[in-house]
Amino acid sequence: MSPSMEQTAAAGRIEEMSLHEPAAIVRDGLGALLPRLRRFARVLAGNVHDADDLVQATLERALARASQWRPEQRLDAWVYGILRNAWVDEQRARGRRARVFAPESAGADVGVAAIDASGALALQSALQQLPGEQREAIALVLVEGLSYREAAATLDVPIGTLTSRLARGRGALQAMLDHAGATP
Amino acid sequence: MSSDDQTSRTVLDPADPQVLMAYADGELAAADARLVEAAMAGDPALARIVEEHRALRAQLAGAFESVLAAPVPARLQAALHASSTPARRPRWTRREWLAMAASLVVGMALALALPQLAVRTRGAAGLAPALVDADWTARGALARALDDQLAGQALAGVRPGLSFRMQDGRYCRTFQLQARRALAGLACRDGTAWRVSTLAAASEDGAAPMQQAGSTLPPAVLADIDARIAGASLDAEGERSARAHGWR
Repeated sequence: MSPSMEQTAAAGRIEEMSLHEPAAIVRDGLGALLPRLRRFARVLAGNVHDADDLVQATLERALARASQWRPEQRLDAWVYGILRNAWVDEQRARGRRARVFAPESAGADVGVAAIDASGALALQSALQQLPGEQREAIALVLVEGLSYREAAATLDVPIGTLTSRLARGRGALQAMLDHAGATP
Repeated sequence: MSSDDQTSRTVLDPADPQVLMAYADGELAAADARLVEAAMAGDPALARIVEEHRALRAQLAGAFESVLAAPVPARLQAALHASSTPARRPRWTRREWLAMAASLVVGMALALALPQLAVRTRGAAGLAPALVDADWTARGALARALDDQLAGQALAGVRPGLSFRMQDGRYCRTFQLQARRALAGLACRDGTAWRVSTLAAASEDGAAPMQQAGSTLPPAVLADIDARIAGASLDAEGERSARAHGWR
């Protein structure tokens, strides 16, 4: 039994694995991430239906690009990036439609906040009034728990940009909540 | 308090709003964090700002916590377990080709006999004796794949998709038959057997011969899932555990 033959066989197996493994790992990983992807999408999109559309588009994109994922990269950060880009694409498409058709009524669901004792709905609707770039910073850092560095990499912006969006978003959110609390 | 070691490199202003925010988020290095803590101890206003940041963070986490516990809709599980597009998929191995060629015959027979949707009505005998009995109990490659394969793993042309439990605790699994005319179905546990409850054409376009099954489950199968599923479908770990326990 020569060791070189063994090695060749092992190398062959590894080569075969590397062809098939990334897709399987990504698929398994996506399954485990589904609840968190739904939450991230929910913060961005604001309602369940749009959020799940976004997650579905994300799953399709991530599976199609599974070979681009590198094991040294955090899978969640990679998929968050895909979801965020899908959301930006959707916003752009929506912007085009909005210019062509009648504008949607803004903040139509704000009234719901009044009947929500826990404040969760008030917070959710306040979030929807923030500019998208502040909302995505808040979603990644404060809801998903990414570090500043990881969030900046996911959004592909310098860390200083990330922190200033985060600070402005927080300030605006706090002001809205204080205002809502002052006039119950 | 002695802070000689810090004075030489001090560029950090503990009263800077962004520094306080970074401190609240746990982003500061230990030495910087101590500097902020010292400032907070001497200035309640700074401590209040940090407290506000943390409260908002906790409030945000709480506002979306319910999403984590909510059952994942069947359509997302289906999207997750859909076969990847043929162009992206690695080349098929010889074994897969042989398996598919074998299942092609069976699949074609099924597809021809069941143009749209076959619920368990007429006897299935003669349709596909290799895959189902007369009473729609799975056998052969279909039974083996449902017993042994995890989501997305094909065996002899049968690829299980998502798995879930019904109200009474029994397991169900979707599957796709990779054939020229793709079929997808749902099978549920009946004792130690799998019984097929729905089988439908997965895709109407036959334009791409010898390629993988369509990527989405047909509406009839989705409707059957929605009618039977209790709670969420199984994740990869849940599926492995169910398989280890013989789907009981």
